[in-house]
Amino acid sequence: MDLNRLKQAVIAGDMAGARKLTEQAIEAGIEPGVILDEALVAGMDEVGELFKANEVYVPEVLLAAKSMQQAMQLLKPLLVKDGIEPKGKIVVGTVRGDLHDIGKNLVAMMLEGAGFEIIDLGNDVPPERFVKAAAEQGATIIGMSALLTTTMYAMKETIDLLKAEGLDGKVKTMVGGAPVTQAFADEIGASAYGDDAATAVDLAKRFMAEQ
Amino acid sequence: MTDLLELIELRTVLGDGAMGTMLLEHGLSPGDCPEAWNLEHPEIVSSIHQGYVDAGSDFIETNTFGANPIKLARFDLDRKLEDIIRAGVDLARQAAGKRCLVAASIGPTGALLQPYGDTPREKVADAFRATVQAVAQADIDFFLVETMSDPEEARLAIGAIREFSDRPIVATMAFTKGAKGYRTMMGTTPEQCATVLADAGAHIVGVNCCAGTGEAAEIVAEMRQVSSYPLIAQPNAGAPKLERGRAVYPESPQSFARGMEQVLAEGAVIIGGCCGTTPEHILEIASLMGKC
Repeated sequence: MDLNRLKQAVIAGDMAGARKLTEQAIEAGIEPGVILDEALVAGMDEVGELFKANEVYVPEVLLAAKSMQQAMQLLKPLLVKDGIEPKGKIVVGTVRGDLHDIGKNLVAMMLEGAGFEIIDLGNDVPPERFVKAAAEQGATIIGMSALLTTTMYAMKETIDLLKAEGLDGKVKTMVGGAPVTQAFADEIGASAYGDDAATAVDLAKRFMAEQ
Repeated sequence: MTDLLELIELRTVLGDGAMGTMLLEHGLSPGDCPEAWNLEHPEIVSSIHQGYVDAGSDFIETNTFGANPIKLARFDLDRKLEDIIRAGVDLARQAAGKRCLVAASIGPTGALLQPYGDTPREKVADAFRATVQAVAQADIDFFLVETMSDPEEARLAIGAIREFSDRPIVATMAFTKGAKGYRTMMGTTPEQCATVLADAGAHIVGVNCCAGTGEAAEIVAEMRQVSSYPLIAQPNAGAPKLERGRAVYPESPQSFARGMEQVLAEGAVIIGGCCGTTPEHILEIASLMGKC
């Protein structure tokens, strides 16, 4: 069983192929953790690089992520049984007043593709919900998205609330969305700014490595 | 008033500027439904329309950009679809009088189509049908399908219009500039979009909501390479910058109007503005065009 074929199926967005090849890999006795890292996560990594280089666009990323999800349906119960933990827990959402969720969904799928557990709060999420979800679920990263220049300041409220609750430092924040810039992220005190969904994955990995 | 398709044979046609960013200036809160203001604050919507009519617009757009069942459902306002559209068309028509045409603005649903997203094609097609049926009963001169990111969604909107109306269709898409040039969110080029929109049945195709007049000129030039269709450009007043918590669009009315001369030189026959443009921007173009 060649895991590269499964990796290529993920990259190509071949949902049926990814599922079938995952079945075969499991039957061949390959450890679930190895299938995850060497085929699925590796495939999504490559898609992320292609996306950053403008070699592929949103449709290809979404199909790749959906292919990985197909594979994960089979793999997840086995990973749990083997006691393999997710790479980290991340709360994501579009901020209060903002109903745009395409970008946020893309980020969530890419993070999932990198092996993180995602707690997706949806859109129009008030600061209190971000902080509460992170505290209750033990997430160490909050990712916030905004498409509107008028809603992006709600990000600062979440960051301020984290500080007020004494979670500053324990929970990292990353922000992104069309109007968001590095300068803005610095201004509101976010831990990091992600220019695109693939960068969000890089940031999350960096945060976990720092812990 | 002459039909749009006749008008573009005669001269350059000037549209209006932004509605959404103008409503925000007038107190619309982030997260509020802009189209609900057709019912809740008609006097403000009217005054914005009036500003564009007085500035010399040949057409103004109804405040119905997000008036489709999918988007309105996010505000729990889908039951009000017909009221919102009827009021939106009435407000524009009253402001336009006999001085200019009225375009029905039709924006995206905000949903991603299968297989990339989770929304079935038929649900999006039905949403546009509901919008177009409501619009077609009202008094509009043409349709303006705009700010589309997915050519397939634009096709569904144009298809719905063709089912219920024989009015002219103008269709524009939003592009951003990346390492490989201009692309929609879905990765399609201006050339591809110009072809797809025209094949779907649009009479006039083009670009809107791009970051400034310079980008608009480049996108129009790319579309001109492949399309013999009349072209339209309605760019933003540049890419917004944040100043003290507010989005500020950098292109002044004067620089916007000068930039639009290049857009015209590249072959656009209809010009106007999107986010961050105001009646002053339109007035400045009108005076450069010798309209006043």
